[in-house]
Amino acid sequence: MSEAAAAPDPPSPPLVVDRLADFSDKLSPMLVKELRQGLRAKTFVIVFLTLQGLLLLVLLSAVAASSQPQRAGGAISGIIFMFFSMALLVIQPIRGIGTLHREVLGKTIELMVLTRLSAWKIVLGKWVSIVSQSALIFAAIIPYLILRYWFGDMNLFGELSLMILVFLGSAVLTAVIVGISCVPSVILRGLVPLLAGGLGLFAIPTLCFGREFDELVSIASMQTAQDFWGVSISVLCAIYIGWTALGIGAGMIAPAAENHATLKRSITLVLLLLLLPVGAFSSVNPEALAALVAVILVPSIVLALSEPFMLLPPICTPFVRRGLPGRLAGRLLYPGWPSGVLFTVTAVALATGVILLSLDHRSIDDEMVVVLLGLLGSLLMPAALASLFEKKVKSRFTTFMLIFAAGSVVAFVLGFITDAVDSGARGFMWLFVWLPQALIAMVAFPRDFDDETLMFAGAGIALVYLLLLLVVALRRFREMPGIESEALDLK
Amino acid sequence: MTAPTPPAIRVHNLYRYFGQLKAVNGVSFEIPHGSVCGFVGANGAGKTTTMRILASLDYPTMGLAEICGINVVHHPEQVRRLIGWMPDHFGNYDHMTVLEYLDFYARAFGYSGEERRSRVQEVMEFTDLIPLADRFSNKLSKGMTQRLCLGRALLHDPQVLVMDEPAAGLDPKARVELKHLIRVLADEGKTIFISSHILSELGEMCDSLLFINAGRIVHHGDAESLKLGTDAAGGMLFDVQVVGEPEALAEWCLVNPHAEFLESRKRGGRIRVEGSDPGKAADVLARMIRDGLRVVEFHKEQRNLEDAFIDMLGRIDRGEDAQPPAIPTAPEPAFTPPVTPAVPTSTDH
Repeated sequence: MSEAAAAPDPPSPPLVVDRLADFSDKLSPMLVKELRQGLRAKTFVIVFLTLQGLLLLVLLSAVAASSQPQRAGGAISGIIFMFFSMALLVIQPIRGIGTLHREVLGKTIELMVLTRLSAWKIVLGKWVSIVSQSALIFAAIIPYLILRYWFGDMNLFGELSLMILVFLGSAVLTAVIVGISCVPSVILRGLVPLLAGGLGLFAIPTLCFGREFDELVSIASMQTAQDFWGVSISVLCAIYIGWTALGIGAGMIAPAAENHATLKRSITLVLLLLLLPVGAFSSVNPEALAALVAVILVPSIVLALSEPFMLLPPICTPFVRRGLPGRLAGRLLYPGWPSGVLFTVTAVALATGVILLSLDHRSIDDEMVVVLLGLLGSLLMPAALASLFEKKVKSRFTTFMLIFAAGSVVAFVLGFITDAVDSGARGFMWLFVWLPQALIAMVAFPRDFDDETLMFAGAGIALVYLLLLLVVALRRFREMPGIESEALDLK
Repeated sequence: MTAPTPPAIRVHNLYRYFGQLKAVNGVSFEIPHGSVCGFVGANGAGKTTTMRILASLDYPTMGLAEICGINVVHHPEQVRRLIGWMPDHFGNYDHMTVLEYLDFYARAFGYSGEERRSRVQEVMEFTDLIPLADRFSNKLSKGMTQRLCLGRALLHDPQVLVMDEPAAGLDPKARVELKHLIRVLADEGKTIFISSHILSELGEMCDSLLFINAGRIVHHGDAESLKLGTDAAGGMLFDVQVVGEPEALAEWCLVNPHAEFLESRKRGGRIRVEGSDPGKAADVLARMIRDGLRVVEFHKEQRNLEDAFIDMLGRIDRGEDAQPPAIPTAPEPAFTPPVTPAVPTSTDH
């Protein structure tokens, strides 16, 4: 053997792809992408470093200046929570504005849809990325909370628990903003962050100091059964709202051949069915149960009534294979607003059942009933209007939400005017009774408007809008058999 | 007996309406495996809409579109594994390098571990992106960006590549590079469906050309057949140079019905003489001289693809028949979607 042959092979030059070891294969591609981009983004770096700097400064100042560490402790907790809440409840969720819209505008969403990424994975990746950056901020705050313990007079479990709740609130708010970030209307996309940001900037400093803060810490420590159930149910509702909000985004960016409606609607119906025995056999306060039902129902109805009708044969295939029952279920669960109308009728019927069953034990406040009817009507009205002008409506969800928002603003202004005029002149509100949100405003004036009359008015108005929707929806139902028979022919 | 292999791309009676606009109006064609087909038409002729339907990004109002025998409406997931889509735009990502960009799409296509790394490496080598690995993807030149876009489209090794205006805006060097890459891909057996405005380049690259006008296919064949097909009807083209005022040639053509003035040139112009008989050309030249034009140059020019295309469009405008589509179009709607069609990946909900 020659010397050359015996010599070891020279090491091969490193490949460029050897640098791709920063994220595991097990992570979602979308999360990897968003983290790579997000961690380089200036906003995150600035928020992270500023928060660290401010908290360090506050703690060092407190240590140096305070002769009474116990009194300083409360103030330090307030400051830590204020900075933490501002970062997590205001700045981090706002980073989600336009996150999906940018992908839609840049048409990169199309390139992603052509891969194996589903719309859910895309939206979830965007959300997880912001939330994981919020988690980094959360993790970086914990040492300060432990240092704060040194000052004494601290409910460590309560404050840690409150911090986790703030983190959860941030995650839900981020989900809502990411979910609606693909809406074409900049007004609608900006509305939630604007309201949440404005409210946060006003409320957070107030809530972080004084008695309110102590009360929040006390509730978060869940020492009573009432607090425990209150926090637990709120957390579950928040998770449901976050999931629904992300579903809005996924549904809007998904190709029409992806079905995002059936699962959402099925879960809502199952939840309502599960609440039936709760209403029948437990002694839960009917108002609390009605509020819970509203939390479950409202996002589902909004989605069901605002979905465009674009039914493709592959969507129908799993339904038509189950024969007549499958086709009937399709009338309720197919994507698109026409089946959404029947779904709404079914869900409202179930919800009414839950509330009526709970009335065996206790009575329900009439005002609550008016508010619920007004809420239902305010969801049916935009859908009915959008359906009547369907050919002119470009984005059904945007139109729906804008009509809803405009109706709410008008009702709010009407409420102000009613409050400003004499009691005898308040009857003008009946002119606006076609606007269901106006009923909710009228409830605030029990001396001028009888609850029973308002209940009848609310039920009548909701029924009119529902009938209008049903008539238009049934016309669209005629298109379904043709698509279903084509679905049967698919391999 | 085994069933014949379906063509790489099959489109039959495809329609796509946007309200009153008939963007695609009964298009039918087939492209066999391993061929390069150019898709030509003016802006708004229906090229991009047809290509988007083939890429499963849009839905036909009616008709059939198949990739390797798979219906794009019924089985979009399967179709997406077979096609590489290169749109006429490139979505930039902030804070993401070329390497990370390709890595993201490799992950998104389902590759993991060593396979993912080798796919990215292969594609980067093929598109010569290795020297640009650490450059941010939104800081690349147009040519580099197109190479990256091609790389992304090739990551999952698709059988069919659909490219919408890939050469638009490229400098000559980048255009030559892209042409070379397309030729290599064609030699590897990939089917390439490519749209472009630069007809001469398509003529060199493509095995066949599809001409679309106002949503309808007006020609399907190779470049030579297009030139020949329009020769008889399009007449002969001559470059004529004169001494003196070049405008005199245009004025002379106005009063002589057998010669049509096409375009001005420095010392004269380009004219068309009816028919294909050389004798007619000789008569025209003789008449020019007799009428006092001082002709110093009169030579026949080769008809190029642009001429053929413009001739064809002119005949359509005049109501004369263009070449019928290669595939007969019997009324056979295969898919009837709802009245309001929607672009799947927009947020037009």
